[in-house]
Amino acid sequence: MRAEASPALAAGWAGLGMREVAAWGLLLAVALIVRVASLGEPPLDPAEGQRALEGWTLWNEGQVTYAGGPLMPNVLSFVFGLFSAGDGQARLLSVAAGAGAVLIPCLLRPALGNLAAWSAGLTLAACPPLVVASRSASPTVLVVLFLLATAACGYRLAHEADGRWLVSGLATIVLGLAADPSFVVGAAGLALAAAIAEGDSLTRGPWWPVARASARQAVVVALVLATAVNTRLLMNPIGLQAGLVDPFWRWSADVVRGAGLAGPLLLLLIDGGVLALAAVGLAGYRRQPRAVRLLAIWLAVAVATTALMRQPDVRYLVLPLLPAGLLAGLGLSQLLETVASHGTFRSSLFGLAGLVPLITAAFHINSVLRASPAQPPWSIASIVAVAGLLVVVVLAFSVLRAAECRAALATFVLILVGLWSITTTSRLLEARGTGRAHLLEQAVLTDEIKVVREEALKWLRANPDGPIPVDPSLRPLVAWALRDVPTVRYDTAAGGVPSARLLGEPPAALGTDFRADRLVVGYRSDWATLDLAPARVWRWVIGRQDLVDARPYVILVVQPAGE
Amino acid sequence: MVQLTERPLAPVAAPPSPSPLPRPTWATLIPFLGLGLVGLALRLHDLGSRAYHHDESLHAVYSWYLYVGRGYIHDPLMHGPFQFHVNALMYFLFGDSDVTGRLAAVQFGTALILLPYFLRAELGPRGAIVASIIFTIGPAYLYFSRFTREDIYLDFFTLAMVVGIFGWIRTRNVRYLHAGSLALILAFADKEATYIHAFLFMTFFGLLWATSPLHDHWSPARAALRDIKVRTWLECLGIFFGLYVLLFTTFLTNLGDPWNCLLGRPCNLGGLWSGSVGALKYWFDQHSVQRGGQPFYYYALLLPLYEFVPLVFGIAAMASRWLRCSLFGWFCAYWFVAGFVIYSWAGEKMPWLLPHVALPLVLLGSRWLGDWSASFHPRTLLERPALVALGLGLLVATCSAAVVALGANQTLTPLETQSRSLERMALVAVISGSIGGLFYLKVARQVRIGRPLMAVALLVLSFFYVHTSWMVTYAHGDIPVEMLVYVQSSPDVVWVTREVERIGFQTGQRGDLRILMDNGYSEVIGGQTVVHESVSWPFEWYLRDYKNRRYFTKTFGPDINLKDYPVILVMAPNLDPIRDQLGDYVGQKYRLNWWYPEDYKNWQSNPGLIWSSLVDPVTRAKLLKYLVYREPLNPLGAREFYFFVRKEVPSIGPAPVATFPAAPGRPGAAVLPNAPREAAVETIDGNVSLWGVGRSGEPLLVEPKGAALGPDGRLYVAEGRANRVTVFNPDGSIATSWGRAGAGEGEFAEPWGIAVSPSGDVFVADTWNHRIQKFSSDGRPLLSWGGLVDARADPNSATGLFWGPRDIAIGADGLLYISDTGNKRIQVFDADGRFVRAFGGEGSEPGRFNEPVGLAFQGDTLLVADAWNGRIQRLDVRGAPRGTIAIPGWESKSILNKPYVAADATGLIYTTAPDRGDVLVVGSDGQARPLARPADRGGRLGIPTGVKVGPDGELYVTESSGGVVSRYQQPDAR
Repeated sequence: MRAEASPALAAGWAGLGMREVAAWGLLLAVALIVRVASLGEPPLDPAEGQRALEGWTLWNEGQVTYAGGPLMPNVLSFVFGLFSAGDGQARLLSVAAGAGAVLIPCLLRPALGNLAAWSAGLTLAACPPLVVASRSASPTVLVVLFLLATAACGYRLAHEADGRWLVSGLATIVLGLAADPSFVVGAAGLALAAAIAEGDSLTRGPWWPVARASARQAVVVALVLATAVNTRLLMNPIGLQAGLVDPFWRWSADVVRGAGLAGPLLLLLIDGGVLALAAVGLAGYRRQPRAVRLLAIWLAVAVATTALMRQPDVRYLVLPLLPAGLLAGLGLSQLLETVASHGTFRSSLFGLAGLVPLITAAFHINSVLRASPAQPPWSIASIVAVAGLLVVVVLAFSVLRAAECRAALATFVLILVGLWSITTTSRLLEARGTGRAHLLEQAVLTDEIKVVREEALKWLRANPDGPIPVDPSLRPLVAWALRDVPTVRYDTAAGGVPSARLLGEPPAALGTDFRADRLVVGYRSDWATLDLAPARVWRWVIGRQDLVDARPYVILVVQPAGE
Repeated sequence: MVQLTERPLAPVAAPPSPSPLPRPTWATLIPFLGLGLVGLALRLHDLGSRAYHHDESLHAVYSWYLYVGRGYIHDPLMHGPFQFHVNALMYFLFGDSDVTGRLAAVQFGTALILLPYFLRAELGPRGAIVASIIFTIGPAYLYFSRFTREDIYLDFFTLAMVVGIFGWIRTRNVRYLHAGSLALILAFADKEATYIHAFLFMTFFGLLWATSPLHDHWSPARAALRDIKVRTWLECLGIFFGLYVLLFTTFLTNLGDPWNCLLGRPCNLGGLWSGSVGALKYWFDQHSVQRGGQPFYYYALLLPLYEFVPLVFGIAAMASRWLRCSLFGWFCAYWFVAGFVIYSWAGEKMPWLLPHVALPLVLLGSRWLGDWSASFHPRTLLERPALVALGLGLLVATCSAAVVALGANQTLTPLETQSRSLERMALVAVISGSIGGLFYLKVARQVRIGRPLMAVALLVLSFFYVHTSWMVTYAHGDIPVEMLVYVQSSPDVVWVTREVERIGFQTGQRGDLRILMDNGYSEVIGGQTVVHESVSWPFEWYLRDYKNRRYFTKTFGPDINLKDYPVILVMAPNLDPIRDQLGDYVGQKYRLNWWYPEDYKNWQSNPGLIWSSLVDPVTRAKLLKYLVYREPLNPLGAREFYFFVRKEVPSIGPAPVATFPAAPGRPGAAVLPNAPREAAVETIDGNVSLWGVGRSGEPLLVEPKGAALGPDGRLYVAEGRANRVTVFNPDGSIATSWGRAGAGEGEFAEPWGIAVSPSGDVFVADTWNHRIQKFSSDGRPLLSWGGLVDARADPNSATGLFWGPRDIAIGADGLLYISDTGNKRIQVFDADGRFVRAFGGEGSEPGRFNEPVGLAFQGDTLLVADAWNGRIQRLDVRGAPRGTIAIPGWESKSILNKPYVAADATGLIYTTAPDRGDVLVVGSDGQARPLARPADRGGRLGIPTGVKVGPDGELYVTESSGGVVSRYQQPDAR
């Protein structure tokens, strides 16, 4: 690939200049702001709570059985030790990993070029599912970070023939395995894509002898790292199996035959902007054929593997976003270069004018749906949109020069993608902690969980020795919130205990001495109700109405009447 | 002194010259970007917390309709379509919330800060930065950049038009004309005031042409006009009409059917008509309506009150040499003078029009300040003689302020008057000395004192400018003590909305919660039509997600089953027709909106009032207090509503600890907890300790309110939220506690006040049971009396009943003095609950009250915390006034937190300022100073409420949000 690189790309091999450092620094700052703002809100959802609880238990008791990869609980235990336990603290590791993932394309400057690498960083920083994952106490973004780092190390090893990249690559693989079993699926997809894209040439490169020479050192480093990370510095040996052995088979539990198009469809709905930019990046095949070919094949393989896995699951949904994000970096840089070189006031005006037919069509669809919900508005809207766009295009061709036309088109695409990314990100963030606009998350908790915690703490203060019976079915919801209430007892007989208690179902008899307050502490997306009818998708697009129904989680707080 | 940087005027026939500005660099741009970032931060800070103004809620709701697909039809009543489209875009991008409803205004308010960058040639490099600074922090610009009305957009577009006009004159770059056309149509699509601005701009150039023989300013304008090509005209017209059609017809969905009108059939004229002729006609009609009824001098009041920096320096600019030889200067001066006259003449005068009036002044003032700052090197101000002049100038300024502040005391004893006179004389002496020193410097030492004195003036004005901006934006954003805050929804509305949300959660109905709302009605009384207003706005915005809202008119129809409706909202004046049907509800009155008492309107009919106000020391003092502290001269006006909740919907808050598990109350027996609490005393330092702390340091009290000391040295605390009384032994351990929520004997509904008689009987103000309960010292109920009544019309009516009693003081005569807070009166009873007398009534005159809460005796003088009048009143036992003490810190007029008062044997008075987190000590000089309090300990020191002085001078303060009592061994003021 080095041979075909343009002078600009070749410059990418050199160290970063001040302007590049400033640009990457700015990107990091923006990524951190987006990820850190109001990090403690909303409360941890049940899946996040499970991870955080493992970390909290490790810090307090030193032992835990890992439900997933051991990396996150192990690190969180130290985070809690340093900063105390809380919802925001539980998400700090993901924030760091998300910010780190934004910087990884910097390692790929030799392949992509300076501007495209930075653009890829920008795409990853603004990519809606990655923003959400970076603000969640889930291993998803750790997998993203280590998978990207593995790809970068592999690429640098293949093209620089430096043994240190092998050491780094194996280390990131070990960390990825410790993060979550989904890493295996992602890494396999990456390896498969590399094999298809490079073919025989992969084994004929100059890196092979270097790799053989450094293999022993790399394996030793990887094993030491795996032992330290998985066993929490040798304090929890059980982690070695959970982080180094189990991942190789645990992913298979997520394979679901016939998941089919749900994954790709969700990708399209959630991250259409990145995919659109990736398509523009694909169009730049002539400029960087090998990089584009590798990324395109990786994207195809990742989409195929995602379609095989259980959906909706963010861990697998983000896998295609990695090659798509890098391709989108290429696309974004091309658009930016076009606008910078040929953009004029007039081309910007035409770029904006391209939105007018779309908005007009949208308002017409609303108008028809309002007047007569039974009448399909799509044909008239399509005519309005297509005719309007044709008018704009004809006018553009008559008024603008050819280069200006390209700039106008680039402006139009950039605006559309920007709007799409912003609205999708805000929609995904809005869904967390509320019963609105659910698509990605399967279960969320609302602020009402804090009321449950307050009640339990009051009961504890009033009666420090008295048990607080809790229906075991509520454990996934309340376990994190009630982690430090020592008198909580998960008791199948909680419904019949004559004292203050938390129940999932109304008791057979409450009696006059007790009253039950019903708290909606969360929502679960009911994916059986997923409705992709055009009118419903339309309402989802413009008005954030749900594509799936949200079912409430209810907790009955039973306490003596009169309180 | 003024340096002219204006480009020499080009000859008429000369080809257009390139921009005279040097090529912009990052260094040029950075100050503007920095100010933009600061402005954005100031505008985003705490953006959603202020209650939505009536107009804001209208705009937010109709934008929301557009966003969710319910469309939009242009109606001149709510001005142009632009803001609805842009708000809908914000909802589309960021979701709908109280923050995103104002986000577009924030963005345009921030963009306005950047526009002076393009006027650097006209304003000068420094002047452009000064203009950006004023747009960043100017009170009118900052406040209305956080306000979802069309005015901040209009300011942006108007200034963008100016950029377009003068950019073209300067550079002949066609982009300026395109941008100007875009700004013009967006301004038209925003608000009809654009007709005024367009008229001003056109008449300026018309007059320039008409008077061209007298000056040479017309030549460059004429040359610029001639240089516009036909194609450019067409492009500009295309931009204008293209956007006009799209926006006014809501992207071709509101074309109407005007052809039917031509045929004489029923028709809809559509947006093209309503956007032009319709809008003009509507607002000409509104001129005669005189909405707001403001006097002609309205802006003459608002400008010096808020935008005094642009006013002062803008007038200076109009008197400067620069103006005479600058086309831009003439333009701005004409724009201001003619605009001021037109806006003052127009029937509708509103505070949100102030930014339009002040806009040219900002440009003029910025130019003057920029030129002034460029006329010397800053280092010259640091030379010794200049520094001395600067210091003397500052001394004059601060001492003058002190003289003014001394005049702000209204009621003084003869000794205090004498003391004030001496202080005033001393200050006048210092001022005279300083002025003498300045003369000496100028005359004897030949020092140029003009610049240092100007710097002092600028410093003082800037300080007050920032203060004004901060207060109106963040402190009084929805409190109409500011003239800029106009008929504003009260914070109660937000609180009620949160309660509705909570009830939705609790009942599991969330968005399906059924809410019954008062739709208002009209009736004819005595031949006059009386309109009863509805409770709809701003609740239409706040409750937009509740689909099952239903309106009723005057009475509940037969198809309304009240059991289906957990929540009812009804305007206070409309309550009577339905009062009898609300037995299953509990209700409380709140303010829907409130307004500034527009006392200045009287000046129009009686101009002599101005002079008499200025010569009357009391009024003068009040005026000064308004200027500095925004203490209104008269009580705020308010429109009230009731929030009713069905009784079976319980409050969910933290469960009271002491009554867990509940012990059944027995008649005549104390309602005692069976889980006694062990309290520790936590010593913070040698002086302060915390009582009511659990073994692990956790607070044991739940929103403690009033406190009292018994003859046995025990401290009695009323825990409002826990509905109980907790008694502390003198060593800080808990002796006992009793009570639980309810309306039965020994039960409470948020008890606030408490008092203990010399015989040991305990009296508790059981606030929301509207009664007083009497207990033995061990908590056995002995007696209770009271009941709910609204007796504000006559304080001597319905005696023995209460609205919400808040405190009890026992006088030397053995009588109980009880603050009947909602009824604004004090009632007096004997120890057996027999009524003796009542006094007070609503008002701000001496002897009347506005939210009387805490009571205490200082000898035979009754001290009343007259909270919303911002004063402690000193009364005799029959209610005759003996003086007042102004209390800073009660400005918030909180409906949740109330102040209490106590007095010690040495004459010191202690009171609380809960919203400020302060305990205040009033010394013999009548000045309230904050008590030195330790740092917040894990949130346990918060919202000090009740206050009591012990026999040895120790002070007990209940920390309402902290859940403890703080005890000060030797209370010291800071």
